[in-house]
Formats: sequence, structure tokens, C-alpha cells
Amino acid sequence: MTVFKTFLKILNKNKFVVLLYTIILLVFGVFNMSTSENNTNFIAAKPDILIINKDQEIGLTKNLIEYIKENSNIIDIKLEDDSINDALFYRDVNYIIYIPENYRQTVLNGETPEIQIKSTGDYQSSYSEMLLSRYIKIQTIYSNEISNEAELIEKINNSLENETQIEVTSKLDTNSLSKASFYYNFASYSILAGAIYVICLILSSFNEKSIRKRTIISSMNYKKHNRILLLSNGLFATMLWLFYVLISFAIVGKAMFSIARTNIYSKFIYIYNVCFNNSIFNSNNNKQQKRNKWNSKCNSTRFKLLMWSICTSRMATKNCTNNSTYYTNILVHSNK
Amino acid sequence: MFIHNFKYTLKTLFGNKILIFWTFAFPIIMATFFNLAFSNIENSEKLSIIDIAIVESEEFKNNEILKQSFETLSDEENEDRLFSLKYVEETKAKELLENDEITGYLKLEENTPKIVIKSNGINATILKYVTEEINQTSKVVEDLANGKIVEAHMQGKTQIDYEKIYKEALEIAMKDDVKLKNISNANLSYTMIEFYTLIAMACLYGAILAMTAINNSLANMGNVGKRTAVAPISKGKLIISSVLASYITQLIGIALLFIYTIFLLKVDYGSNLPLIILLTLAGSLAGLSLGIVVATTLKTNENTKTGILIAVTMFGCFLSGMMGITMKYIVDKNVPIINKLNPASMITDGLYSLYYYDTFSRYYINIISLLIFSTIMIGISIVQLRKQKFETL
Repeated sequence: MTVFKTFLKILNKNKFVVLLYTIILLVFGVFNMSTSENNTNFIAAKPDILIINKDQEIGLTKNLIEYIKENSNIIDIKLEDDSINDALFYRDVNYIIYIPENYRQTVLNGETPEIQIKSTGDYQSSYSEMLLSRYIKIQTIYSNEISNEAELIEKINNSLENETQIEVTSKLDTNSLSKASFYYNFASYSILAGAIYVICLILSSFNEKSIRKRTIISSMNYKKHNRILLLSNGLFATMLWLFYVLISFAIVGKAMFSIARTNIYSKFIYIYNVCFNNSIFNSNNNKQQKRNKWNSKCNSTRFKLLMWSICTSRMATKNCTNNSTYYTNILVHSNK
Repeated sequence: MFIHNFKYTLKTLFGNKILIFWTFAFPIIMATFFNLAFSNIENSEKLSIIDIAIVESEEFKNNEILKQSFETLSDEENEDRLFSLKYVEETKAKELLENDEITGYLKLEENTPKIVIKSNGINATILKYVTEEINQTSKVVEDLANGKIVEAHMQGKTQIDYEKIYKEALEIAMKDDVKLKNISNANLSYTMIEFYTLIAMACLYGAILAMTAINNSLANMGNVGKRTAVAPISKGKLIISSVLASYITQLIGIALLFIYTIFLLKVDYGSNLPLIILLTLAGSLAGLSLGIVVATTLKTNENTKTGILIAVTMFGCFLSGMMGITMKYIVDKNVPIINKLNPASMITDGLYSLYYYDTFSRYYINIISLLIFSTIMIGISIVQLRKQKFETL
């Protein structure tokens, strides 16, 4: 009991660290979730496209730009070579279309103009290319038959209007599902970072030279001492996990109740969390026995930085794809 | 004396196991983690073959264009294969959809195609899109054929070969005459930035080496320093030989990191090796000068100095994209001045410009910035060192 009480005392001193990570989690979580709304209708995915028009924006050229605008998110950036290339590299745009000079005139002459494009090569850009090709194809077919510009535009738009009926069967709100997966993506980081930081601090306090010496000469068996520490760490990890799961019910409750899968996912995090903490504990304990001079405080901060960098960069790259279904896929796959 | 001190600084630095771990092994471990975390991210973003089903019916069998198009698009020998297709009954299709085995299924109701999907997404969008395109093409064919027939009537022809007209129209519609020219650079792998920031970090971690080496010659940093300070030898020589030793140690570490990332992790640094080496030399110099400045200007103990160096380096790396590649882009786009002053960002951007750009102007700007940064830092250190005097210690 003495060991456990000491454990709790040190934990109490470090509660702010856990609170800090929780606040970060909540801020990011709420920030991410406030922007999206519920929907169960079909919404076409829209790629990010940049159009660089060297022709005059009238007639056929204008029509092409309007068609692309309708089917994509037009990105507005500085029109300098470096900014454009950077935007493509960092996936700010998926696809860049350079409309050449005299585009309109070439089409009216019945020829097919060559269009330069830049593409990131991912699925968004493949889809963008389909969009562009379809338009150009229809335009080419009709431009051979019709020479009047207004008539040609009308024909093209008429052909493109053809919409297929679509039905979405899932009553699951994918948005809240992706919210849940976003939350757990981030929570795994908060749980890990909080647990590693706190457990390392507590263990290093127990490992301080004078305290260590006192523990050794005390009547308590060192095995019992270590066992209690191990159990306390396990308890702490469990409480931390429970805390974050409870928060998740508060934030994304609907999705949590509706899908058993998410719950499985949270369990997975929990198991991972406990195993991980215990392994830290064990390695720390071994070090204690070897009386290594390793400064575990310094070590923990650095390790934390490492974990932090890995976690956040993974998340950032996932953010990069900017596709809510992507999260959902990860969620679903990890539970299969 | 120069060689003597040089040799012993090297020995001290290599003998310091913890130091060597953080400057040599840590970046390599990070690189391994990065490789584990990112190696598959970009592949998963490519368009893969989409599983779909079509509800079997008489109507569908009679709809030649729709049937043929879907069969071509799901032909295993077709290079542009888009779908993996199953013909099933409607109940089975529903079951497949429910089990996530297909993205969606298509059925014909009164000869108009209807798509059923489970949830939104790019695959569902593409399925809808392709169906629309096929519909549009058949409409275009009809349109063209009608036009031809009307034309023939106008010319007063009595015998019209409907089948021929229809075939001609189909040929025109199927002709793939879209001229797109892809002018994007082949090097588009954004995860490379992670490894570049790692190189930047390794370069700047050299600051810890330089600091440790300099500390040994500083009178306020311990007994060795005191002894060195009262020794009747040129302080300039001492400092220069210490700094040179730490520079060489640092370069060995970075060379190891390069060898590891290039040969084992297959990181692509572009093809211009001499310029990469030049950038690394300049980057290491920046790290070195940062270490000297912290060692000479701050009058605190070694741990605090290390803490400050790590914090500065980490923050610099954070801004240059280590904890999220988009960070660098956001800073570059909105507050470019920050990354113009940040040595980690100069190194990352230099490597990035070698990898992605064909021109070298951006690269040279980065090299010059690094040199200016180093000169300023070394200048400050010289001023600081010259005015150092201790009455008591």
C-alpha cells in the first residue's frame, strides 16, 4: 500500500500533463468536427484542380472552365511557377490544366488542341483526368460536325448533362464515423504520450539514488515492490484509457453507439496501451537493477519527441489526403 | 599543439557514448521509423481496381453499348482496367454490397441505369461517372446517326443504310482523340521531405558535438576548461582544432545516415551528388556554428545548453515539416520569412529543390543563406570569446 500511495502522490503532481494532452485532443477534435455536417445522400468527390488559362475567357474556353469548376474545387494560389509547383508537390492541388493560347480558335477550326497538364498521380488526379478527357472527347466529336460556336457549346452541355440515378443504401452517417476515427487516431497519440510521460516520470522518481537505496534496505521484498509498481502502472493506463473512451462518447457519441466496430477499435488501443506501458516499465525496471546511470528523465522527453513526431506526421499525411472516407477505410480495415 | 588537441577532442567525442548515440544512431533509428510509417502511404493513394457488380437481366443483355463498355473496362488484359466485374442476381448484389465486397452495383430499370452504393467516396464517384460517360457516348452516337439520316433524307436519298450510318457514328464516338501532355515532374514523392528534415536534424544535432568540444576549452565549464585556460598556448589554435574535430565527427555521422538512407531505405535525393555533399557541408557548418554560439554566449551548465539546442533544433525541424509535411508548405505559403531564417528549413528546402526542381537558383539561395547564417553565428561567437575574462571561478 505504501508503494501505491507514493505512486498516487507522484501521479497527482503530474496530473497537469495528462490534462494538457486531453485539452490538445479536445481542441483538435472539436476544431475538426465543427466543420462537417450530417448527410446520407450521394455527394460526388471533388478533386482540387488549378486552371491556368492563357486564352481569352470567352465562348468555348469559358465553357470548359465552367465545366471543370462545376465538378471540382478550384484552387486559388499565386500564379508563379514556384508556387504552382510547390502546391502540386504538397498536394494542395491534384491536377493542373494549362489551357493554351488560341484554344478556342483551334477547336473552332475543327482541330484538337494539345493541353498540357500536371498531375500528382493519385486517385484524385486520375479522376480529374477522366473529367477533362470526357469533355475534350465530346467537344472533338461535335466540333467536326458543327462550326457555329453557340450551337457547339449547347450540344456539348446537353451531352454532359446526362445524370445517372444513384442510391445510397447505408444509413450510417459516414461523417460521424470519420469523426470517430479521427478522434481515435488522435486519442492514440494522447494516450501514449500522456502515459509514457507520466509513467517515466514516476519510475524515475522511484529510481532516484537515495530513494532507491532506502527501498533496498527496507523490509519489503523487491519483487513485491516491483509487482505493486507494475500493477499501479497497469491501473493508471486503464484509467487513462477509460477516461478517453468516456470523452469519445461525449464527443462522437452517436457513432460510438451505432457501431460496434469502433468499440473494438478502442479496445485495440487499450490493449496496445497497456502492453506498451508494461514494456516500458519492464525495461525501466531492468535498468534499475543494473544500476545504470541512464538519465531517464531526459530519455523520456526525447522518446516523447520521437513518438510525437511519428504520430503527428502520420496524421498530417493522412490529413493531406483530405478524404473523410479514407479515415473510415482505415477504421474498417483495422477491425477486419 | 593543434594536432594534439585535435586528436584528443576526437577521442573525447567518440568516447562519449550518449552523445554519439544521439548524433549518430538516433537519426538512423528515426529514419527506420519513418520508413515503416510512410513506405506505403503513397501507393495507397493511387487509383486501384474497383470491385463492382451488375444485376443480370434481359434488359442488360440487350443494351449493347453498356454491356460492351463495362466488359472492356473490366477486361483483365486491358491496361486501363478500371473495374473488377461480377454478374449476379439482385439479392446477391445487395449482400455483396452489405459485406463491403463491392463498391456498388448497377441495374437497369426501364433501360436507364441505376447505381446503388453503400457510402460516398471516390470509388463510388468514379462508378457513377463512368456509367454517365457510357450513357453520354450512346447519346452522342444516336445524335450523330440522327444527323446523318436527316441529312440523307434532305438529299433525297431513298435507300438509306441505317446500320452503316450507325457504325460510322460509333466509330467517331469511340475515337480517342484527346491530346493531353503531362508536363509534371517525375519526382513527386512528398514523403521524401520527411527524410530531408531528418538530414536537417542530423546536421543541426552537430551543434551538440560542437558545444561539447568547445566546453572543454571554456574556463567556466569545468576543471579541464580551467587548466586549458591557464595553459600558455594560443587559444585560437585550441578552439579551431576543437571545432574542426567536432565538424569531422559530425560529417562521419551524416555520411552514415546518408549511406543508410540511400542504400537500405532507398531514399531519393535526386541525381546531383556533388551538390548534395555541398549542401550537407554547409548545413553541418550551420549546425556547428549554432552549437558554438550557444556554448559561448550562454553562461549556464551543460545540460541546459543541450536542452536549449535540442529545443531550437526540434522547433526548426517542426517548421520545416518533420512532424507533418504540410507544415513546411503552410509556412512557406503564408509566412515565408520564418523559413528563410530557419536553418533546418534551408537544408530541407535545398534538398527538396535538388529533388524536385530542374533549375538550381533556389538551391543556391539556400546554400548562401546557410553560409550567411553560419558567418553571423561564428562572428557572434568570436566577439563573445574575445571578451571572456574571469576574476573568480
